[in-house]
Amino acid sequence: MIELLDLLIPSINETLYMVFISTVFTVILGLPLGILLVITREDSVLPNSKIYNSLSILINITRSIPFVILMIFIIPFTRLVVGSSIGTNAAIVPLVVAAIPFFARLVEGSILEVNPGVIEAGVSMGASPLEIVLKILIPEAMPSLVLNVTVTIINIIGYSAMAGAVGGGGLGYLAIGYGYHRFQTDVMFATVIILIILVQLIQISGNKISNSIYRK
Amino acid sequence: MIDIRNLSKVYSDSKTPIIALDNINIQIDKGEIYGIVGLSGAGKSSLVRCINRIEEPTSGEIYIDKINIMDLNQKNLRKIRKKISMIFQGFNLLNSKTVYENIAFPLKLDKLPKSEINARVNELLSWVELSDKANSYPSQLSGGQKQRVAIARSLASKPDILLSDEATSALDPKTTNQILSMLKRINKEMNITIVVITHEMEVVKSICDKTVVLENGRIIAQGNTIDIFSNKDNCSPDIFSKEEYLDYKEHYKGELLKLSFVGENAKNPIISNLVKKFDLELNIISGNIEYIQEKPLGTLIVELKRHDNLRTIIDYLNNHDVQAEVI
Repeated sequence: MIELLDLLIPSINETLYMVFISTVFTVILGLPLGILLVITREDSVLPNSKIYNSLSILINITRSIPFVILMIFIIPFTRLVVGSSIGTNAAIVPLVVAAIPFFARLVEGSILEVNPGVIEAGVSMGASPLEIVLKILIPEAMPSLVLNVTVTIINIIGYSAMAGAVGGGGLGYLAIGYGYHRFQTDVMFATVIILIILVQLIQISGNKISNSIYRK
Repeated sequence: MIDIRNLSKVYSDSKTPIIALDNINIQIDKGEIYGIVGLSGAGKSSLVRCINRIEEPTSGEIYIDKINIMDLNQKNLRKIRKKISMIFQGFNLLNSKTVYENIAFPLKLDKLPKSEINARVNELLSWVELSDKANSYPSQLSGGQKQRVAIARSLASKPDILLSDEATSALDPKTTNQILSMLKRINKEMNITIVVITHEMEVVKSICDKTVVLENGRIIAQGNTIDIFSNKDNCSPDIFSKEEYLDYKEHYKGELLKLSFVGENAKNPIISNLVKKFDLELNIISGNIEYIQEKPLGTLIVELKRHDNLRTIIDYLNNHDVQAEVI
């Protein structure tokens, strides 16, 4: 049992680290991208079909590459960013690259749900596009954005297991390295249980936070 | 105050361009309540959105206090928009913010100091009688209360002009009257010019000094509200009368006349004289008196069962200050 914990705890930490850092970068980079996807639409506050179309195509391309392939495909880029292609930090790069377009599409959906009338009211009050984004779009879409961050975190957890399998460490590495290659079924079983608990916890907290700020 | 010249708006994204506004000319003086009325699709919403250039006109000029807003860049346009407030049919409040924060919103955009914002918001809250709702969220309010918050928000930046886009169309009759009298007070007490967009004739009748009637993007009547509704100069457009009298036409076989009496001219026994003079058989179908801008307007629908010369009858009535119209 202690042996099992010795294996599990560092892996859990690695997974949490990978997921946390990836989520932070994904939100920082994906949120503006998603917002840009909305406000550059033809009928929005900063119409620009060139930006909109190129962003949209870029996102579609990134999203069409399966994560396992993307991970290997961008190894040169990963090396450039973190100096290595193996390890937890190296896993974060493809995780972020894969999660950004995913999250950006979800953000797009959230922001599009904001009542266009409220945006119009903002424009009529003389708000600039930046003020509309910061003071109207983001606050109004917040409950939905929180839910979509939750979905993204859970998605990153899934990807991180895959990244772990190819040298990123974490629970994925543990499950495949010990549970599969060394036939330690208990390790495999424990990993799965921990992942289930982790995902449940994140979803429940996400729902709670979202509900607490929902005003409709 | 507002001078709209040769304004046109064409939507050309579809294959057949849609002309939403066709050569509109309107002059609105300071302190007026000006009605823009028409059926849906008539172009009212496009027109009002051109006044603060939320929608880009295709051609024409719009002067606000002698400044042609078509010449303004985005920055100056945003500046002038702060002096042209707007309220909407759907209220368009921020759901994520309290009543207080909603009213404070335009003031925060202006980056006013907190104490000043606080004083102004509290003043407005009591003006719209919602001081007790300061910390409520819009979802906890009724439609009328929401519109009052929206009105308070629109007044926060001390505008010169208030654009009201179907502001009462989602409200029940009682609340509608409440909001309308509030608009009237804003106009009188704060000397704010109000442009009212509506499809409800009652709204124009009760508060608008002047009115334009839009149909298919064109002005089909324009002038003092009472003149338009009493059919003076025969400019009364179809949308007022024909539809609602279709029923009568089915039930009565004789010639139907709509007679309008304005103000003082209703003192003579005109109907009685008419019957004697022309030896008519006349059947009164319905009558109604309504008040437009506090002036009485009487309407009488009559059926002529037997008559010799309709033209002379109508002329006789018109000569006695009664507007007669065949329906």
